[in-house]
Amino acid sequence: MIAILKKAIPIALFCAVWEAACVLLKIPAYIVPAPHRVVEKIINSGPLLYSHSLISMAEILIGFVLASVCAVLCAIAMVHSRRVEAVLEPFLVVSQVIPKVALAPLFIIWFGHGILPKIIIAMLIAFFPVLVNAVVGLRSVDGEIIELMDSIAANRRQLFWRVRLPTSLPYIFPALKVAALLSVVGAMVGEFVGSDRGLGYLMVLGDVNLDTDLLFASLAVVTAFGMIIYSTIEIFERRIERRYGKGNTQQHLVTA
Amino acid sequence: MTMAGKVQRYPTIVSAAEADDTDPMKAAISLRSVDVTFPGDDGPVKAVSSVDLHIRKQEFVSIVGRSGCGKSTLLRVIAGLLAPSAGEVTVSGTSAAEARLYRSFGIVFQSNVMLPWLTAIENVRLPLEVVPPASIPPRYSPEELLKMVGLDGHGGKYPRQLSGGMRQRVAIARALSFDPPILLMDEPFAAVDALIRQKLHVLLMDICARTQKTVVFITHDVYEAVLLSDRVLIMSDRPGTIAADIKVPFPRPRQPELRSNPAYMELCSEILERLMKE
Repeated sequence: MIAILKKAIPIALFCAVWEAACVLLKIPAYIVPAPHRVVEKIINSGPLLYSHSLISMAEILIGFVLASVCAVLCAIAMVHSRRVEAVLEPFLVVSQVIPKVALAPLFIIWFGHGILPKIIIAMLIAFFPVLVNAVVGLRSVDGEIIELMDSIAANRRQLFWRVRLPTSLPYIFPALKVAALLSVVGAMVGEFVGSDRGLGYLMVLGDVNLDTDLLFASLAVVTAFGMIIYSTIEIFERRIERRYGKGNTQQHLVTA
Repeated sequence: MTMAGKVQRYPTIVSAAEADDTDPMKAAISLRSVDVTFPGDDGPVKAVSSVDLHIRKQEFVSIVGRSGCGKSTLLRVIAGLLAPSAGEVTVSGTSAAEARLYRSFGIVFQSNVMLPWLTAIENVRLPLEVVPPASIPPRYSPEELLKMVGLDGHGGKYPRQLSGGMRQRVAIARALSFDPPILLMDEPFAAVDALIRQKLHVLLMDICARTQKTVVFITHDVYEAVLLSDRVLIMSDRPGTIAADIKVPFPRPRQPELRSNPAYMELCSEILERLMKE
């Protein structure tokens, strides 16, 4: 609770400065609306924001979960088989070099204006950091622990469940936080490019109609949602780190 | 004075274990002209060279030598964790790798590895969980073993809460937990303080006598080697070979008081001298 307060205080201060600046500098609402206008907009357009945010949240969550699951499974396959690694690696490098956001229009052409292309974009963006960290984590097992497991005749499955997976968790969880935020980006970009629903769509709508209040209100909602996912993963991450980690989360994150 | 003279002056008293063995020449562990070569930056490096070694059942053999002389490598070869580049390793009539799968070896690694997310008792129990004992439960339960190594009441602690010496003792308990016929110990008492080390010497001798274990014991400490062993092997440096094979003639069971025996002191200093020359 105190931790939440500590985080809330700077944000509250920032909002106060923002409010004061809007009033004192007489900034027009269509350029930067004051915080109280944004709050008003959120309350007044509650049902609208709610129905659209459900779409966006679904895209973000499905994209994030699919990306995480696929990335961890891919990492397991790569760590266990050199052949799989040899086949997958070039694709992974290429897929990393391609700006995935730039593929958004293509996915709209292929999969239409529905929820599917957004999920795919969110997934593609979120996939790689989890994969890289999971591979490093699964490989970071101490050689003598592997020898120990060998000496007590543990099979590959036991080595995986009892040693490799627990060792990799402190590497995977920080990457999941990054992936969650990236999948928010992916879903929003997908909605900007072509959609008739979602918070990204509302932002575009606000932009076109100079309804900056709506733009900010949508932004606030999506930000809040991103923070909720991030904090939820962080809670699990702390537990994982305490049980399986070396005591320092940062040292486990390979790519940011 | 030569080593042979030493052995003659203290005629070997055949231990009970040896006497019981119907076929004393049938080795528990047998290495024939074993070489281990590692790829290095400047070409291959020979870590172990033409080692011939035969260890009888229930024999306690120590290997002494300088750091980096290939002692640990030799231990891994015996354990079936590392295939020799040349030569042959036989353990109780099968290959070392096969013997490993039959869980012939309880290994105490030098770095006393533990799974950090398991408590001390869970770490000791690990071998029993990986392969549950078929019908006969092991002679000592994990709880008893922890008590024996002097860690009663520390079973619920995690490795990070234990000192290096305590972790080594957990590793010893773990190596004993599934009651393997052969113990391979790589400087198991290096991090243990002198007082506990003495207690563990007594414990180890006691357990070996009671459970008829064959032990290969790596150490820097010549005094420890002579106190515990039936034979002390001196390993030379780079590439590691067995430079001397010295029989320790004192009868079993031995007491820590042996340390004040002049004959013991003499043998120790002789081995030390020999070790210096290598």
